[in-house]
Amino acid sequence: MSLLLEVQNLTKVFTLGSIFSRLRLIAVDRVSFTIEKGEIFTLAGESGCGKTTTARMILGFEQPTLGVIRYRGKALEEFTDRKSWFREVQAVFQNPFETFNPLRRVESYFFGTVRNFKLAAQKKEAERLIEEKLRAVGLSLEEIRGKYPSEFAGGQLQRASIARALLTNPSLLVADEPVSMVDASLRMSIVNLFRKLCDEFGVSVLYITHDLATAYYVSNRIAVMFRGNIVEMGKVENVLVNPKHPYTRLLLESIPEPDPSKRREERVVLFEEREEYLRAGCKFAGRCPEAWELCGREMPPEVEVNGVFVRCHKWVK
Amino acid sequence: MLPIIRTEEIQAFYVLETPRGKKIIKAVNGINVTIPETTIYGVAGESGCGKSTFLKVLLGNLEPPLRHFGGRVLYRVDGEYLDVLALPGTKQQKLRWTYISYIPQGSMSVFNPVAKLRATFLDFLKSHVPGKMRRELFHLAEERLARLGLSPRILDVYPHQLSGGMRQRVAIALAVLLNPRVILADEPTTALDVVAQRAVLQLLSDIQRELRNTVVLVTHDMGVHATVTTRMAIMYAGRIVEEGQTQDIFFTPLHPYTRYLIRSLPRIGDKRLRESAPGSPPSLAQLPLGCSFHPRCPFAFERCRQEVPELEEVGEQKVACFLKRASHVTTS
Repeated sequence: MSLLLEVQNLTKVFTLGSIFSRLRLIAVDRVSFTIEKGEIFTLAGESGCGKTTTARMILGFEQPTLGVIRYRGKALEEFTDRKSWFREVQAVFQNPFETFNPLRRVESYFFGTVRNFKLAAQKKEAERLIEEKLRAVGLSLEEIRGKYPSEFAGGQLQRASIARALLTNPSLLVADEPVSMVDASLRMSIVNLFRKLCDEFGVSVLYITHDLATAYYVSNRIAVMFRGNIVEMGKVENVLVNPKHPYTRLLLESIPEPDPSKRREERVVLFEEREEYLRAGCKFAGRCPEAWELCGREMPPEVEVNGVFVRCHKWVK
Repeated sequence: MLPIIRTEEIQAFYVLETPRGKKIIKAVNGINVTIPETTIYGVAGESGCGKSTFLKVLLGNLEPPLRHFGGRVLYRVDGEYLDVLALPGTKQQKLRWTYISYIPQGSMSVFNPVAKLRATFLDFLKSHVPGKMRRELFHLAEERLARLGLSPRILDVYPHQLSGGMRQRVAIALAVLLNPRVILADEPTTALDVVAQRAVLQLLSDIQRELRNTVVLVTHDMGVHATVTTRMAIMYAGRIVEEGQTQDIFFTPLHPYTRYLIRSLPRIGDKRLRESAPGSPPSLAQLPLGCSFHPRCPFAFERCRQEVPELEEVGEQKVACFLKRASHVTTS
């Protein structure tokens, strides 16, 4: 496998409040991970954990405060124009009905992308290319021709938006919660599509989600984020089946499992988000059942335990 | 056990006037359910299947463009069955909150955004209980909030200052304050994170156990149904296609649609390929003839394209499918 994307010490600081009462919020704190070619990598966490901000920085929508994003060894800033970056890295968003303008025909986005990236010289060639990509996601040009976004079902439109992203033959798709707006009976068709794109075309996917069950199903490796930090990272089989960080465990225990024979009785405690972001030391210390004095004082370093990276004092030898 | 809610062939459609003529959206298209008392009854289905509209009908809240096209919604109140849709407005008003209460999805819209929560609670008490009981109930409200992990100080903030999980807990506290017999909850945890969701579900089932009332829980999340409901109904295109004990629905789903729904659920620890149902759900404005699921059903035959199957008993479950037991035996 070869290294495709490398993210090193990526940090984003937002400043809140007026000039008199500044508050610095570290939304993403020294996040590092890599994505190999043909790999599906999941960035998981609850809302407000910084996963979307990380994605936005990778897509170049947000300027990192610190850190480097490298694509095949070349830093994002070294790409002379945005186009050559977007040729390689494409985005799939959460709500397909917001991705497309409701007053524009869906096909116009396809022809627009072809024109923008100069992918075809003539209309015939453009149509052939569009047809090929639509076929890959189980649609056809005939099915979408002349239609407006409202005439599609959610799952169909999301597949169309993935087909559009594939036009430039990208090697990486950044998909931010791509299935959370899709109907339950069609959700797996989108997730299966990512598997197919990865297996058949070698496309890598950065899959951003709060849904650990689909993450397990589709991805090779996973990073669990909490309040701006990656707290645990490794193969899904290790992280999600045998979690090391107390937060990963809490998250896994909180998922309502679709199995009525496994009802849980343990109780959870809730804490407020802002309070946790501004905490010194480990951000999870406030509700961690295993926290001790050191956790509230010092940020734990990242340690490797059986191939899994975990940021918790418990595992520091 | 006596049913607390019974619907008879209830039909409610949205009637929209468009430049191209009238458009009728058949959101609730002939639903018969019997909801037993003191259960958490789940209603599952995908977006646009009419499940939220069904809850509005149960609440007796039909506002244009939603119109009642037939059928009855009966509640057992003091031993007799009342049709909420036929009651005069004032009587309906009286039932609401004291007998039937409602927890909406976006709890932001329940509270007045420019008033502190205390004012909302006081307003609510003022319009529903006589003067001398108010103080007592206000204390009860504070006590309940404390049990939800919220300090009484929370009453002195504005709704936007709370996180989604906290606001949803306050909405639940408000909805159950007058000890209603029936709580209708529309996707109460959908906007929440998993950890907050679990806390809210815990709370909802604690309250149900303690007050011994009936909760009708509408959500698309099958995991939530598996976690808290005792019985459930599966809705598809405005109708109920399957109904039964939650355990039975999960372990022996009878309707082809339910089977797709259950089988496509991903589980941690299992990477086997999951198939999703082919095609997409129909538009409620243009339902196919016969069974609404037939265009996506691999078992459909001639009769399915002509006739609409009724919900019929098959063992402990009810299913609206012409294949019924036969399909269950052949494919499981």
